[in-house]
Amino acid sequence: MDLEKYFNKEAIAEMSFKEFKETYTGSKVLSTLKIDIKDAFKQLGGKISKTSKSED
Amino acid sequence: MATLCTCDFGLGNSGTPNCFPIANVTNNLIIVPTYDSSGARNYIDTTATLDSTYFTARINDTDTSTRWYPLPAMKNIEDVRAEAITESFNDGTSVKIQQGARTFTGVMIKESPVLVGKIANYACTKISAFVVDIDGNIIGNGEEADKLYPLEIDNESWDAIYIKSTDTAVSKIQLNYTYDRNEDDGNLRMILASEMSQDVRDLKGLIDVNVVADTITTTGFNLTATFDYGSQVNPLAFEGSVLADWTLYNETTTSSVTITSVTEGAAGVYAFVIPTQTSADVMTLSLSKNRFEMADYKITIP
Repeated sequence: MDLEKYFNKEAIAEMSFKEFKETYTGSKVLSTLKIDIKDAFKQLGGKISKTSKSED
Repeated sequence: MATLCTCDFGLGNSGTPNCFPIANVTNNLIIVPTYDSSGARNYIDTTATLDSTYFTARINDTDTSTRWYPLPAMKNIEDVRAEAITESFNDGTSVKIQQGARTFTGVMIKESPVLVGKIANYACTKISAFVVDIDGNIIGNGEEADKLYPLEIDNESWDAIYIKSTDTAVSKIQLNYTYDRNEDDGNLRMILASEMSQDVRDLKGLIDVNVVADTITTTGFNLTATFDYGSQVNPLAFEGSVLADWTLYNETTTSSVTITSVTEGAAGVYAFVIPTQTSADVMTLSLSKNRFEMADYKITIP
């Protein structure tokens, strides 16, 4: 997967979506790959908590 | 070198086969340190599989004493041996003392002055050259079976000159040197292009990468990576690097740091995200990517 050329999947899986969003919002890589930040997080093994709507 | 005469043998036989390969004019040179760090002469093992893996390993060799340094294609090649040095006598006869020196001259078209600075320094060590001809054959010294040695250069004669553009001529780098006096034309041998699965005319040398980190925090930093080439205002950017090219080591805790992400924003500007580090820790960033070389870079966590 192209995302794994730039992101360490294991490390991203340890992050919350909030952290991911704060860190990578506006990332040129994501816009170049034309991938939504939430989809990127999921594809990298991140888990979005259903109980925490604030993360979305 | 002087011809060594032996008294107990006849003349060398002068017959030749009907068909044998002949080297063509030089396309480019591959400069190689004459000796590796152990003092042994560098050579091509002609029994090895000479494929792209072999040549990629030579060019990207982390040991600079065995690395190959291919130069760009050249034109106006002159590779001639001077007349032998003789002593003349009053009766009009002369005696050959030693063969003349073989000198090489060629130009690389529209290359940067930066390259002159880099290759001029080759004179500081003992260097040799594999000659690649326009057919893609490699020419060297085949004095030992199963080995092709690069042709030894008199490094004191090595001279790279930058020639500026004129109204009627493009800029160029002119290279002049003399081969070592011990190189005997009778030892010139080739590895044919057909004996290699890589076109050695396409080999390119490593490019130096310079980096500067800024916006350093406990969880990351930005890195601007450029080449020596480009303008004084805007050096060319080192673009397209990815996570796998980089390694980070915490010198303070003597442990590897797994980089979370490396994403390129503006050309050659990379955002590194790392696990939280302790203030004052010293990190070493390394690059490992074919065709590029970067000196390890120290980053101190604020």
